[in-house]
Parts: sequence; structure tokens; C-alpha cells
Amino acid sequence: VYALGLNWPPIRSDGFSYYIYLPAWLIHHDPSLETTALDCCAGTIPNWSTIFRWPATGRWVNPHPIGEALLIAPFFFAADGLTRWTNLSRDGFSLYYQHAAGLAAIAYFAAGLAFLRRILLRYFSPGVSLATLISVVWGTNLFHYATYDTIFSHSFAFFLLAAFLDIGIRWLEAPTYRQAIVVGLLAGLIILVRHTNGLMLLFLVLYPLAGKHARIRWDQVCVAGLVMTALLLPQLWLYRYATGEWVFSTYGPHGRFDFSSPKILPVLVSTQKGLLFWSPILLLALAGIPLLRRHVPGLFVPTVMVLAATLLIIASWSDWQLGGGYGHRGFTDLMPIFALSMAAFYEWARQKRRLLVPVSVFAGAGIALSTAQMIQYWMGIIPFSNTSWDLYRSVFLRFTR
Amino acid sequence: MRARWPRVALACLVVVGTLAYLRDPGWLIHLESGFYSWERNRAGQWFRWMGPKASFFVPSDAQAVTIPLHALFITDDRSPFTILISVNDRLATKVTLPDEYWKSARVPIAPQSVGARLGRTAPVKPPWWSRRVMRIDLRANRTWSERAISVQVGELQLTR
Repeated sequence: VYALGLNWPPIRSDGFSYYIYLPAWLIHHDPSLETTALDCCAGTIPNWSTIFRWPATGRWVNPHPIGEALLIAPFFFAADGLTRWTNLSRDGFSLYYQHAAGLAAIAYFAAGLAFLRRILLRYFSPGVSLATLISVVWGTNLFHYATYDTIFSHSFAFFLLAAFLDIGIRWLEAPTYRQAIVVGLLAGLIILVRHTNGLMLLFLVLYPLAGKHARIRWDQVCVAGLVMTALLLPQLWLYRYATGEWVFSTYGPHGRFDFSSPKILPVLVSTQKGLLFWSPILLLALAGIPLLRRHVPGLFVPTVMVLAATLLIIASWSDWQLGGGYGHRGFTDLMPIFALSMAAFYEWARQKRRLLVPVSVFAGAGIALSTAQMIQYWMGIIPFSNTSWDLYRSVFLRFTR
Repeated sequence: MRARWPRVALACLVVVGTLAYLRDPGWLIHLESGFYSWERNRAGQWFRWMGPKASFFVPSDAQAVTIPLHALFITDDRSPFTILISVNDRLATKVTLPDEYWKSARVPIAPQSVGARLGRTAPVKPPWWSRRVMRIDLRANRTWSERAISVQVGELQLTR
């Protein structure tokens, strides 16, 4: 994507504000972001980054938390060393830093797929697991957020949820202190990558209600909770330092919730960003949710609750399209859970001979359509937001501008 | 176990080779950042808008590089633009642009050879570890417009 000049630089838009902590902490040693703002942007961080000055304190507030920067940090260190070695600008945004950030997202995406494959193979046949992985990667916008819009938070959150489910369920079924610490770390990082993803913790909290072999060791739960809390403290300190307050909206002037009239239908089926309109293959995942009770019973209730709550939160946000992007990126983080329900559906369809062909055709068409539209988006044929029906029809499967 | 060491040796060789290559790669001379596309003004002069900062590389055997700079004062902010120019992270010069006239900054490129450092005037072959290029960084004190541009930068002239 970057070598062909389809999109440069990787660190941009939301990715910029997720990433900016790294140069601020590790190069400029100034968590207030002032030095980085002077260095990168002549003192004023651009509006498009959504970073803004808190009126009461005059300090920079970053709506995007520190989790993604923590995950990118190992790659950043490597890039920093190479930058000194090659004598590039040690500013956090020169060539190697850009590629390191992009590679980090791809690496976490690949690791997320490995964890997801491991979970799928525990409950489903190898064939169904493979079909599910292909469907989720290319039938939805997951591949797009692992490559084109690479350092938006989604591939990182995808990795974290896949690892959290895999390690977390193993921990619940055979608890060890080591796993408890890892689960605590993953839980903390999930919240630190995107605060609303804290809902994902429900997957493990509610799993024992119906999980067949789950047993709770409260001492280990306390350990996991302590690790998670310790990880959250620097973020709380940053917020407190920047705003002087403990409770506030991190998005400040950039948006607000209105739960009185949620845009449920537009979020699900509109041409602008409708989840099912742009990723129709997820219909199979929705159909598979009731089937989770048969394969992974512990995840059925939390899946329904988390999906419903996520839908309500996104639909109630003033910018329910979540800015620009391919498909609805508000649900990309949840792809591991969609994958499980989709696999449940595939497993069910596999046993019904007359359904096998229509389901395969639908899935194949869904993957082909989603991939084709992703390429159209990369070519600038599909706009990054507000796609109307007329525009959609006029550019449908057209690959010239 | 026996088959492991060749792989480790190969990996080490690849790492060392990559690092040796990245110490002074040939493509650095073409690498630049912080500039928009080339444009031409009414006088036919080529220029590029610069963002808040820009970087490029020049051959280290050059004596100096001359950088033409030009500010426009279209917004209410009439304060002068200040451009800090550094060579390999050392501040070389500071240029103030208080008006809309072109100003050229002549930036000496510090000689790297041992002979030059000892004050000899005769050319001395640079040691094998010296780099073939030097990095020039430009930093503006402010930007304007939605594109976050600062000043116009004309065509660079190298003095050998």
C-alpha cells in the first residue's frame, strides 16, 4: 500500500493522536505534548488530529488513549535506533518511524489472527476455521484496517480481543497466576486502546455463567484486577494533569452522546457506513449468534450484550459514521467475536447439505464484493464518508475514476 | 541442534549486512519530507510550500547549499516567519522573513574529512566511515492555512 503510494504517511489522522505519545515521551521527554507540538507542528497540533487545548488549563488533551502507543513502543525503539544509525531526523515521524508504526499494526493483526485461529480450532473443524478466517479478513473491513489505515486502533484492538478471549478462557478453565497477570495486562490494554472497548471485559466476566468448565479463583481475579488497575493509572494521571478533572469527555468539542435518538438503522444498513451494507457477510455472523449456545455457551450472553451495547453507543454518538473510513470501523475491533458466531453458522450449514451451496455462494460473493469495494476505496472511487445511494450505484464495481 | 548454527549465522550475517547498508544508503540523497508539490509563481520561479518542518539531504562534499525562502502574509498574523536551519542536528543559521521579498540562506556544509578538521586547505580524502550525505532540517516558527504551510522554498543551489 505504501510502496505504491496509495496512502502515505501511515501516521496520520486518528493514528497521529494514538501515536504522538511515543515521540512525546521517548524523544522529547515531555508528556504535556508541548515540545512535540513545537517540533512537529510549529507549536499548534492540527485540528484533524482531534487533540485540543483544555479551556481551563490550556494544556493539550488527547482524546485517544495511550494503549496503542504502548503496543507500538517495541517497534518505535527499533525505528529510533535505525534512525540514529542512518542519520535521519530523530523527530518520531521520519521514514523509519512511519514504517515501524505500519509494521506494528500488521504484526499485531497477524498475531491476532494466530490467536483467533487457535480459539476457532478449539471449537470448530479446521475447514470451518479456515473459511471463517478468510471470511472475516476479506469479507469485512479488517484487512483494510490492517494495511491501508494501518495505525488506526482497530488492528491493535482486534489482536487484544482475540488474545483476551483465547488466554482468558483458558485461564478460566485452568487458572494459573501467570495467566491471571497476562489477562490483567490484556484487559488494561483493551481499555487503554479504546475506552469504550472496556465492554469487552464482559466476555470473561459473564463467561462462567454458562461456560462448561469455568471455575473462578478469586485470588487470581484480584491479581488480574490489580495488574489492570496499575496499567490504567498513567492514563488517569495524564487526564488529571491535562484537565485538572477526574471525570470529563475526552472528545471535548469533537462529539457528544445523545441516547434519546440512536441512529440504529443507519449504523446497520445505510449506504453511508452501514455495517451490514458494506460487510454483508456479517449477516452470517449475526445468524450464528444463537448457535454459539451449542459451541461456546459461555460466550452467548456476553456476545448479545456487548454487540447491543456497542451498537447503542455508536448509534448515539454525534458522528455515528466515526469520521472517515471503509465500512463501519466501530465494529472492527469485535471481529474475533463475529468470527466465532460465523464459524458456528458455517458448522451448522456444513451439516445441512442443501444449505452448503447457497451459503458458500453468498459467502464467496460477500468476500469478493467487500474486497472489490475496498480496492475502490483505496483508489479514491468510494469516498471516505457520506456515500449516497446514487453515488454508490454510479461507481458500483467501477475501477476507473 | 546441529542444524541450528548455520541459520543463526545466516541471520547474524543478514542483520550485520542490513545495518552496514543502512549506515549510508544511496537513496538518502533522494529522501526529503515536509514539502508540498512543486509550483511556479508568476515570475516563472519554481518553489514548494513547506509545512512546519522539512528535511532533505545534500552531498557531504559540497561547500554550501543556498536555500531561497519566501513568505506570504495573507492572514491577519503579520509577525515575521523565522526559519531555523540545521545541518546534521547542529543549528547552522536562522533566517527571518519580515516581508514578502525572497531571501536566500547560504548554509555552509561542515567538512567531515580529518584534514579539514585539522585546518588543512588541501583536499583530503574523507575517511571510509564518513557519510556521503548531510541532513538539512528546516523548522518554521509558525504555519497558516488549513494545509499548515509556512513559507515557500525555491530551488536549492549547491556550491562544490
